[in-house]
Amino acid sequence: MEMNSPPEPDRMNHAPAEDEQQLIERLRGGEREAFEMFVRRYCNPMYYVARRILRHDDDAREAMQEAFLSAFRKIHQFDARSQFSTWLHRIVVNASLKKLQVRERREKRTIDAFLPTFTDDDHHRIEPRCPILSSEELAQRNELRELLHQKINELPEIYRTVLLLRDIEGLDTEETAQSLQTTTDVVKTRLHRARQALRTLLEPWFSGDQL
Amino acid sequence: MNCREVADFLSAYLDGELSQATKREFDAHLAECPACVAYLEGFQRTLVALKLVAGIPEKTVEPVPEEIIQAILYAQSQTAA
Repeated sequence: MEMNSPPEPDRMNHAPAEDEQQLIERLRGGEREAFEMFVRRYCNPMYYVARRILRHDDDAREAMQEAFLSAFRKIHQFDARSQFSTWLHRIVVNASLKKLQVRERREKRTIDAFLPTFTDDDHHRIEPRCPILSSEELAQRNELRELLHQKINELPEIYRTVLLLRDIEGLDTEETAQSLQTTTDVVKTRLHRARQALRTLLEPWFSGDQL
Repeated sequence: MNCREVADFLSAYLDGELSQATKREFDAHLAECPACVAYLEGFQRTLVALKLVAGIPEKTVEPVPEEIIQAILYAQSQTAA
């Protein structure tokens, strides 16, 4: 059972809608007006993807610009095996990750402070608290979205990135490993630690302290 | 199995990736350890919360400013020139 499976990109044939197909053909023809239409159609969702990953408006702008130019250059490589928006999403994710790598090299925070600790005989050193909010009640909480993103942003960069790609952006383990140029085992380990850390950060809220 | 191992294997447990034998040990530990049950429940709520907000923009979506679009179009025109 995959508790938090993101929407799996459909591997079946994804013939683009007619107007999208026309747009793709015009892009392939190098039409300038088509490029503008392309940018206007997709810039909103893609900008917010880049900003979610980079957390910085100027960096997100640059990443999105690079992604659109790259997509335009690579438009001949789009082969309709995935949805056009999924294809573009991956390009934006990769452009954002490239920018993020520079930041990661600077950051040396560890995740240890957010992970559970254990006694010498392997019992929880601090008793975990049981959530009082049910899953259904969680869905009713208006503050959930902002709170969750705020807590995700407190994670060290390499963990935050894996969590975002897997649990928010919907990449699978293999795609995440490819985007980050690492192995699926590393992705799984980092994802688990990131989820554990997020659990720690959300525990006071789940337990009713901040309701 | 002890509490440390339960915490380590939680994602694998919930993703159904544990062997039958390990899963049995896991379940046996949970049956007698309220602390691990509390930990598991908090972990599950975390996954539910992530699922609820996946794909939803971080904040209310405002249209991308026109200047950003113009910057991309300008960059493209420079590339094409």
